[in-house]
Amino acid sequence: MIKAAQLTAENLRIGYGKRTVIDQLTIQIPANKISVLIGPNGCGKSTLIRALTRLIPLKEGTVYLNGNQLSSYNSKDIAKLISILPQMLSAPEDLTVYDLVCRGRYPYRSFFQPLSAEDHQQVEWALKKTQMVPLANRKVADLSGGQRQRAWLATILAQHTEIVFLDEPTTYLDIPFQLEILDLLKELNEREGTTIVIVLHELNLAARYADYLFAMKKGRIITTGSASEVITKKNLKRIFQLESEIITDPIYNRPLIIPKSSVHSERIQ
Amino acid sequence: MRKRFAKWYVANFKNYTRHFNKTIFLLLLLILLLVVSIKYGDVKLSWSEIFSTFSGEGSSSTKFILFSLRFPRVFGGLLVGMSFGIGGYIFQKLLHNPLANPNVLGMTSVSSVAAMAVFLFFEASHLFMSAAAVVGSLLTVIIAFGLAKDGDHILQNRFILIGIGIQAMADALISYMMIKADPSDLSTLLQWLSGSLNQIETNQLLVLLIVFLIFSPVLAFLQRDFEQIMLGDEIAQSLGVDVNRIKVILYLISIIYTALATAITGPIAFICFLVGPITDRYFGKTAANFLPAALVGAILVLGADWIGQNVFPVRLPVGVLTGIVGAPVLLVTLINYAKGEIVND
Repeated sequence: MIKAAQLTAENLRIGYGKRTVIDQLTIQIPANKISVLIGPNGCGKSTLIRALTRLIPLKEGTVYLNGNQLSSYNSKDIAKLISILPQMLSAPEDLTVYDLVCRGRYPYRSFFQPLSAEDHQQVEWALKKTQMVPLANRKVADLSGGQRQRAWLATILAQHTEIVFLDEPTTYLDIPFQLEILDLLKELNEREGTTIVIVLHELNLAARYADYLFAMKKGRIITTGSASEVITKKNLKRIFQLESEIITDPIYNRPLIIPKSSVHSERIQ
Repeated sequence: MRKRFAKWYVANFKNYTRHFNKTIFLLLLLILLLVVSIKYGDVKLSWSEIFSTFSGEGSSSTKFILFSLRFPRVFGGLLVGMSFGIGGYIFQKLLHNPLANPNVLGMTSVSSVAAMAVFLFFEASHLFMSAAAVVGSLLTVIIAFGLAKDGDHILQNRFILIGIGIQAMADALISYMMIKADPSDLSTLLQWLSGSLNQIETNQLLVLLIVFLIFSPVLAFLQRDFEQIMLGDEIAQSLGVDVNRIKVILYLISIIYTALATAITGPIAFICFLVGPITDRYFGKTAANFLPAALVGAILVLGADWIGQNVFPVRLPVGVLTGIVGAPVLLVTLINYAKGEIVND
């Protein structure tokens, strides 16, 4: 297996202002694997990955990258190892897709250095992977929601990191686009050994694509493990207050959730 | 495949040329304004008069007109305009909002109060006025950021409203000082308060020139980081920009530019506010257009000043002209802002 950067965190306390969202959290990101964070809205999934990628400061605790404190690295060196696609991005309207993706090469360039041949190669590779080549000369403002998301994803791919975090990358996308993006990430993981961490709302997609699941509730990691270990009737009830049946997906052989509507469950009882 | 990217290279090259040509056009316009401002005024000077004065032969009256009146005015207007331009542009871009600029946020008003106070009550030197203006502006920003802070986050609407509040307070203080001021100081003060190029002090201008020589290379170095921040703070951070450090440096540069300029000419109404939207419209929103913003600022100040001095039966200070242009633009911007057409992130 290809060597990948190791990311761990101990005793994290994270919050905004005086409010603490996460307390006493310890996590080890499985290297070369696809991990998916699930949990109800406001449980701290986004907060956690934002703290792991130094987008928000820690109140307590330490994040370690390859055994060294994350804070001991300079910003550009981190950006060569870890990338994150945050939620709700807005690019300057007049930027073309190609220019946007070139911005992903920032950590590899010094002050006045123009884009190198290698930079252009990486940008072209990222555009090809995300099927954005035909749109490379379009302005970001003229793209549809799905295309725009793929343009941002290409930017992150051009950054060429060993660990990629994505905060709900499939929100607002039609199902084919959701699958397209997740397939792309899976391929990246299999071919390049990239460690991938995704926050996802779609539980069935999470179960299908995750090598490893982290289930969170109220700022704590409740349970972790493979999809069949985490996606159980009991766990779903505990995490989401969701009544459900779990069957095995006949094609992908992963757990498939059949959520029961509250009306329905009353009728059964 | 190759072809498609070749097309991109061509498009990109065209973009650069277009950008370059537009910058040259602004530069030519600025030079034209400089020449017009030096040549035409109450007294029209011919080329031969100007050149002979340069070589030391001209009459004492043309010497006086050129060296005491027009050169300080024109070069003062040029430097001050560029300072207001860059200062305003940086603020608007860093906060991703055209309303967030030194004029609307009350920075220029507080700078004025501070400079006025040391002038009136301590009879301080002009350099001391500049220093007071910088301190005043810095305090305004610190207070506004402090009050608008919610945890680690700046609430933008609150920030702008607090700035407007600070401006109202500063204006009240200005009125108070006007009442308290010695009548002999009043006319100077009034002119200065409406933004005027009449009493440009060469030593203040020299300070601004030195600041320019220091800051210009700094801005050139920070250009790429600034362009990353234009994508959004979080994505810039994740791409490896030290967002907080870069922002502090850029805010300081912006504050010092606008405060020093304010100490020289007084608050020229709306000048910082107008620069961003004009530069965006003309050059697009993709790059860090520091130089174009500086040129736009200088053109606005020199153009408005020349029109104010020569077109109307009464001489109008430059701030009156920019006020007449700026107020409707501010109204339109506010209406668009209320409609949510300005993306606020």
